[in-house]
Amino acid sequence: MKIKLTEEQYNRLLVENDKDFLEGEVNFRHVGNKINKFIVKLFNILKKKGISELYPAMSMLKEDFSLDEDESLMLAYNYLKFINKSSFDDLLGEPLDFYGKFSMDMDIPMYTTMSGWIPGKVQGFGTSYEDFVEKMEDADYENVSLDNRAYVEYDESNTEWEIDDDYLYDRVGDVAMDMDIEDQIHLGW
Amino acid sequence: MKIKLTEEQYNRLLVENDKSFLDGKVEFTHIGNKINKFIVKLFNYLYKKIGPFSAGRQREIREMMVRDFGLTRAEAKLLTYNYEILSDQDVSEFSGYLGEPLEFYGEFRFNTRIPLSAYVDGSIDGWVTGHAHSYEDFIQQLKDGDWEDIDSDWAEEIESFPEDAEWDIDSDYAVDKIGDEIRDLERYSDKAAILSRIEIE
Repeated sequence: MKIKLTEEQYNRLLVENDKDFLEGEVNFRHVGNKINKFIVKLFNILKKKGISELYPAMSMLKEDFSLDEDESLMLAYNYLKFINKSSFDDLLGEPLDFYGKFSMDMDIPMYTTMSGWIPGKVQGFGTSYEDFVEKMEDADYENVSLDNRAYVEYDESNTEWEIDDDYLYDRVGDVAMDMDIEDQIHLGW
Repeated sequence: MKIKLTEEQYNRLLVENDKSFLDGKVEFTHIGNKINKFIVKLFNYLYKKIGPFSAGRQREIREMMVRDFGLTRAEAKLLTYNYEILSDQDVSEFSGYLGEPLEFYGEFRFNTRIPLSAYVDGSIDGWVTGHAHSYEDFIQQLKDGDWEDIDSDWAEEIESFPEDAEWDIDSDYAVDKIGDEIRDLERYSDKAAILSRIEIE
């Protein structure tokens, strides 16, 4: 397959940095930062196969073209960006959008329901001690009162903690608004 | 109002302990352990004012005993219970019960350890992940709550402060636990050990 270039496309290919993303922070082994003939060919094949979702596109790029996970993800994203074009040929030399994995370090809010004990008394009515004991066997009590001077005894070791999703949702945004990008945001997972 | 006694009733009044309940453990200021003339009068008054006992009027009956007859709350509870027993037998005039024993009915307490539960907050170091075109794009996604996953290496301890938690009685567990505890006491201890844990309020 031959691809024709305009003079403008040709000149851009000659002078621009065509390798890096994110100011040199990201380099891929098999693809640069612009659409080349190889990528046009990939996009055409994906379209011919009728692929229109991210993960199937990634999967095919990895398995059939031996691209790595990160390359496949970025190219699949760019393929979907241009999927409605009738031809990919005229994209030659156009910049690729970077699309990759980021993470932000933060304290994750957790919650649990913990069990504990405190001395107290269970109160109820009875006609005799024996009658009251029988009622206690059936847990037929009227009231429970606690010794408020005592400390609650609890054991944290067997506690099942869970992520507090509702609180987390609010907290991520708050942390993002007030953070140190260099220390907390990272490329990759 | 005059009350006639049979000879049997009269003799019983002379010789029996007519004051205490539960082998001498409980005594009341205004009433003994038998139906006396005052109690007959009280029950007749209640029947005239309220009619036979009904659960819905239990509080009203007690309040009336405390307010109109100067009885303590514990006395009112015991007499209300006995009024209920006689009402269940369709009694409408109570003088025939003079000298009959009152059944004790009072508040007991069982000393135990109460199960509690609390919702406890904590935090652990972790990370939030997502896909983006640039750092700035990712930060915007975080601000918009448009991130994909969250994780931690779980190796560190969760920082939490259970001592600041709002503890509540775990009622469901308490129901099971109290019955089990009493049955275990009966199985493995003597009666004295059980009674040492029970007090009358």
